[in-house]
Amino acid sequence: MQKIIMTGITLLFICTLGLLAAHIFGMNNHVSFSNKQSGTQTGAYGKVMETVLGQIEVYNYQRMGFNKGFICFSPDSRFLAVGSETGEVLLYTTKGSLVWRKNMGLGKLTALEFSSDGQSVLVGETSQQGWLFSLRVKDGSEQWRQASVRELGVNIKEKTYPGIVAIRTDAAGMIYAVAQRYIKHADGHNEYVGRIYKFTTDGKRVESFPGDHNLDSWVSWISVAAAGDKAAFATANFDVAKYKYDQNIYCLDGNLNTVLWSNYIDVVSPYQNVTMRTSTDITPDGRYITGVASDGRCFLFDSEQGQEVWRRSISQPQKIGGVYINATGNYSQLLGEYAVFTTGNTYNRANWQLPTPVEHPNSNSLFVFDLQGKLMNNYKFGGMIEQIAASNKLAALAIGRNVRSKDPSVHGLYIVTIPETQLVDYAATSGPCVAVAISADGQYAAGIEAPLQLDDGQVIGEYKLTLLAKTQR
Amino acid sequence: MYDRHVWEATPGKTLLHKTDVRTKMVLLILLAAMVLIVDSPRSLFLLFCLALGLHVVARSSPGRWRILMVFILFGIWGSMTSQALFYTREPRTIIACLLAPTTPGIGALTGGVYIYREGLEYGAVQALRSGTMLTLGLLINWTSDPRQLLRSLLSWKLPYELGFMLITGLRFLPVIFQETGVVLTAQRLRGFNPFRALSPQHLIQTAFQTLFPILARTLRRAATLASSVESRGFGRETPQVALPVWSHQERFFCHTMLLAVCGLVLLKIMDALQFNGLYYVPSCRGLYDLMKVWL
Repeated sequence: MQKIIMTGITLLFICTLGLLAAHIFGMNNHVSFSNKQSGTQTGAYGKVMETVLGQIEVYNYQRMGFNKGFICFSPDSRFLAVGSETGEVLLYTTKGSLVWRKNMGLGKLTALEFSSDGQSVLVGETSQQGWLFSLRVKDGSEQWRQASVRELGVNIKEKTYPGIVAIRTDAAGMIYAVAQRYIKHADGHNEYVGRIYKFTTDGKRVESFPGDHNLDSWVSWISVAAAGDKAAFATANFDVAKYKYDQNIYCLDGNLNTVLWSNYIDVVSPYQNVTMRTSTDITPDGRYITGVASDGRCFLFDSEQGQEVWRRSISQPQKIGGVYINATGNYSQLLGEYAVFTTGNTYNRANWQLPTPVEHPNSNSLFVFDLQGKLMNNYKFGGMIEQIAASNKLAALAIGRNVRSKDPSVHGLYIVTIPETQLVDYAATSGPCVAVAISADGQYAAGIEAPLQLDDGQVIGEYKLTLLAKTQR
Repeated sequence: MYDRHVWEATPGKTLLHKTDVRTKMVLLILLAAMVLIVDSPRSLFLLFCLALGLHVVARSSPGRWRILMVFILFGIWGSMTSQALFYTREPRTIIACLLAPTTPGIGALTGGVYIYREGLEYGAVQALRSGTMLTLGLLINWTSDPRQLLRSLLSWKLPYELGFMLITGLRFLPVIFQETGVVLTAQRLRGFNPFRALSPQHLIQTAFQTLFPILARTLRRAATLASSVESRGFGRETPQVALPVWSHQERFFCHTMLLAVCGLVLLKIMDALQFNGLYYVPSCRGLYDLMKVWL
């Protein structure tokens, strides 16, 4: 009897310590699926790998922002880089093996991109120094780093830190990074500080825009022509105030020295200003520039002179029952001969937290136009298009929370054809899908799922990465 | 468990038995400071494993391992349970609902009783702290001659009376457990079954019926001890037997450990200054990154 008790105690002790160790050291569930077991709706893609990325804070439907993740495929489609909310950068092969993982320490990850030669992973963070890192794909070791704090400043007491929020590359391997610092003052007004940098492949800074002062507008996105001869960005200021850089779209030369042109966009009721948070995009040949505003209008500009080629309203604000509702314009992308735009959730224009009588008919939708402005197709998803990534003929979309219907069955990674918007495949996720990537050849797609707390308190989903590969038929 | 020989120090030939008591005491104090300074669950777990590893080195008997495991399990699960239910910090994630807020009466009163994930994690981390200190304390107790312990304390200028009380307490711990075993055996021989009924009233009555005899016997022993030490001139100045020489190597080791803990304290202060936005050293970013993971 004594021996049985002793054995029982020993087993319980070992199991307790084992569970603790597994939890503390993040020995998470790592499940690899064979190619034969699809796990998707049509079977066009199969799950290669699914892995938990760590424990993160769980949000609900009431929160405006949500958990994020950063994923991108290398240009040769051999590797997948992942930046998680837990502060780690991971590199996987497209077969699902982990090559390396690196904890970035103090900073919060805010951007991730491969270099154009696929030999480096470029990581942007928000921290006291706002670093841009270049890590070797081979082993994750650091090649170089550049800080943005010298230009943008920092206030460690108020915790207003500079950060690299967008990274792009051109065909020659030059790196363009958008640095931003946002300050909310005690009197309620917002201050924005920004800079756009250009670096060589070995991390030498060659240019910045503006050269000797900072942008005073919200700039968190940039697009660069493949030839590197043009770069374009848009502004997204919350306040209606006087700014030096108060125009909505700017097009710079490739050296970031000259503003080739800039445009105002007229304000539409009931908005007081025009914000374009995740615009612009530029065709590879640099001919056209597209953008979408949060008021639901999308645009195509000629990149030479900045003339507006056309504009369309994909989600016009509607007044119903005395309440203005809108579905924000989110992403814009140029894919070959087509311009793709997405809209987000339905919100009450007066206060986003207030309910809306109905869902906007064009909310959570994908619109495809040709370059002449003709609507080719559109596709309505059941939830928020958190991110869109595109290869030549395919678009992968991360579908997350629908804050109105609160239907979790819509969550997942969707792959559709462009311009037909035919659903190629759909990998369902329990929690909202918050990030997505597709390889250049369309053979692989990946998504990050985040946990969500439902209104009854139940938590669904995990912070998890899913990698899909096209099945051989 | 009620055998006093399991609780008492026994001679041995392991490295820990041969180590000077002063070194062990310094190690205990410094490691206790370390587990208080460190917040990282990884580092705490490694420190805890180190403490368990020292028991392996000391070749603790199966009886001692059983005592250790029971205490640690109670500590871990008790801490996790209490924190899981009563965790008040944010963020907190509900993983199970024990009592819905819609339950009549008690539901509205309590607002619902839930198990929080962050509470479980926090409780486990706190249990690792107390578990490490408990493990080390028992290690010192089981591998050190109490007389050597007393002499070490006296050599460090601890007042004789305090040192005597401390060592007597340590010596009497096994006695108390033995007394408990005797009382329970006597009660069982009289047909007493404490778990015959699990009603709270019966359990409280059982507890009093067990504790009073133990207390009475302990007080009797204390009175006997008091008479004994008084008759030997307790409190008067008496020449002490000299302690063995504290080896140079062990002293060096203790100083190194002390420096390491002081370093940890400094790093912790640095981290706190950075976290609270008071002072940040850009050139120490690598250090801050390490601290975030390990400290």
